[in-house]
Amino acid sequence: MTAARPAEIFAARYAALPSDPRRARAWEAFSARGLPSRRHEGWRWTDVAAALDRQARLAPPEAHEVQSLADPFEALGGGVFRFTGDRFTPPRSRPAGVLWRERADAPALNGAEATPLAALAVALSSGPASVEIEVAASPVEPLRLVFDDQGGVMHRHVLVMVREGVELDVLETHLGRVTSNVVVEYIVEDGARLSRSIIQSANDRAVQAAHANIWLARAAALNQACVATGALLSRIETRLVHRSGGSHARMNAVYLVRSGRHCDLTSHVRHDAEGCTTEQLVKGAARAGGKGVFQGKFHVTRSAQKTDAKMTHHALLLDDGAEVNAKPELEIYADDVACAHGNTCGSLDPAALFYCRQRGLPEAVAVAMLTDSFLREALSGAPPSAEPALAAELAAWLGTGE
Amino acid sequence: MLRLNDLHASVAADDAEPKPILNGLSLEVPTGEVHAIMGPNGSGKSTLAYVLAGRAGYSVTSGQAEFDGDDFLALDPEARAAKGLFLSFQYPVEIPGVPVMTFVRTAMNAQRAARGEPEITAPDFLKKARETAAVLRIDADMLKRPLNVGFSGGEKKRLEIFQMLMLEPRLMILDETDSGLDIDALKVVAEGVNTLRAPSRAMLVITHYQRLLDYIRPDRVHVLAGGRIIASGGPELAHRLEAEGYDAIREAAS
Ligand SMILES: Nc1ncnc2c1ncn2[C@@H]1O[C@H](COP(=O)(O)OP(=O)(O)O)[C@@H](O)[C@H]1O
Ligand SMILES: [Mg+2]
Repeated sequence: MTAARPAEIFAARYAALPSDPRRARAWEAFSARGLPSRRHEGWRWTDVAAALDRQARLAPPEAHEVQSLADPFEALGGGVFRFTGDRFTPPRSRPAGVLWRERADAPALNGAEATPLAALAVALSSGPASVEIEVAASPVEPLRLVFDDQGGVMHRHVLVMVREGVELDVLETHLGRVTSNVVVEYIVEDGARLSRSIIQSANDRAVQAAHANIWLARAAALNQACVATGALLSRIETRLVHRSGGSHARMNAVYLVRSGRHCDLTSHVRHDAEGCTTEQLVKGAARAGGKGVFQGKFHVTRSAQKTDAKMTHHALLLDDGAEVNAKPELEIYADDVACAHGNTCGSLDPAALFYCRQRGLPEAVAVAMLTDSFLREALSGAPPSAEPALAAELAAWLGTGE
Repeated sequence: MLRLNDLHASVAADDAEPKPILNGLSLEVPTGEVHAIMGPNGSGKSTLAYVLAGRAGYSVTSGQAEFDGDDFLALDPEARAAKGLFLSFQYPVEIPGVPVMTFVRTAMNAQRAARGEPEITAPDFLKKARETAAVLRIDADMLKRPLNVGFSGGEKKRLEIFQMLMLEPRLMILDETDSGLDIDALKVVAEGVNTLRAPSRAMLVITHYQRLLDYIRPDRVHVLAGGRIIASGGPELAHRLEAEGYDAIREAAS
């Protein structure tokens, strides 16, 4: 018995969906180059085609593997939008100020050609094709977007419109059991403030992508925080546009990879208007056999004078055989800007490790303490609602990482 | 009793040939006594401290080091700590994000766990920390700050001794604890150190200057040069060193 190739499975699924011009356009954008692999720009270290092939050769997951993931934000309540491969479940009661609409037809995806997995998600998302959430007044509680492939294959598209002046706190959970491919788009209007907290959690055989497009209008703000522990392959991509001026973004993240895990944090920030700021701090830790990827790009157009943008990535290689690949990029066409980036990759300071052990801390405890001390900075400033759950993810990884 | 017998040790500098630093060092410090080690810069004082504490990269090529019958050289640094070794570092390390109190409590409970003792309760720990801070005139706020981050040289040294008093070790090595301390601070710190003098404890005080030994009075003084003890004597040896310099002692020894 030979398993069908992943690309063939996707094609069959597309063929079975009702025809729709925008869906067709997304499918074309995807199929122009096919599944991203190491040959494609932006995917050199994240070979989705190879990972899906590898996954197809693995035995199907045991029931306990499929079930063992829990939503770390569960205890926080809030209005929950739950997505699986074939079902969408809205909140039981409607949070004040929040409306949603299920669309049967596919949405148009901006820049689909440059984002093949996002294009694939739009092409294959069904039941419904898309969910549009409109937030017209600041909700009292956070909104939660929970994506869970439930052991199958999930493609999802969600659009969130944050209306003028609204303050919105979103908690995104991405649970990867087998295959999940999600696009969330945020339109943040004038003066609105979006907090976006993300936890990515998966088992060893999951292939998982979470893509976001975010547009910040005049004086809008984004505070994004993420903790990701990787999967067989995981990619968390954020594409942000400052489009009207005076908007601010903070994009912080922590990635943690142990043996057999791959985690890719990719971001593209476009400064297209005057006087906007971006502050990005990504920190990662990798154990032997784990692979982390950071790709960050700031693109500052000629009209984006007075841009203030800072990108920082620091990675910690905890063992021999840990791997982190980083590519920070600045592309600047305006002359009156302050842009900087810093990027380091190193191991724990042996002097600090010895100091802790001299005081009696067992090596593993000392490593965990120093790693926590290294990573923690990237969680300071995280949205307060999410901070405890984000910190708990970090602690759990430090406690269980071999 | 700390017993060092014909200790030879090398330091592995990045990829270079290991460099011999200790060249046949023998020394005995009975419990209940305080011994001082004096020696010029680069004579191997810190190397001796690191070797005894088990720092990676400092390898013993021959000789023995035992404390109360335990072969220290066979133990991990944390196991030596649990057996009662404390090294007050010449250059204490900064640990961002970990408050002093958290660090010390983690260390204390790790040592207790290794010895099969129960954890210290939170109220007992707080009480002990408050009392110890008072002895060393340490501000309570300082104990809430991340370990050594932004502390002055003197504050770091004071905090080393704070940790030492909290952990109540049986074998103490003080590596140039006096450097960075002004005379008033030196008196306070020495007073704290002296509270730990006991028949069950041994102490090795490494210093450059005789000054510290006016406040922590040693039973014996040893002179380290070229990785060996070249002279030993009573407290008067420290005064002689101060007056005549290392070269005179070295010549007299050879
Ligand atoms: N990590 C190291 N790498 C290379 N050489 C070292 C290292 N540590 C110490 N040394 C060398 O060992 C000798 C003794 O150093 P040290 O023990 O620090 O002396 P002291 O504490 O007496 O001033 C010096 O020559 C010093 O340069
Ligand atoms: Mg020294």
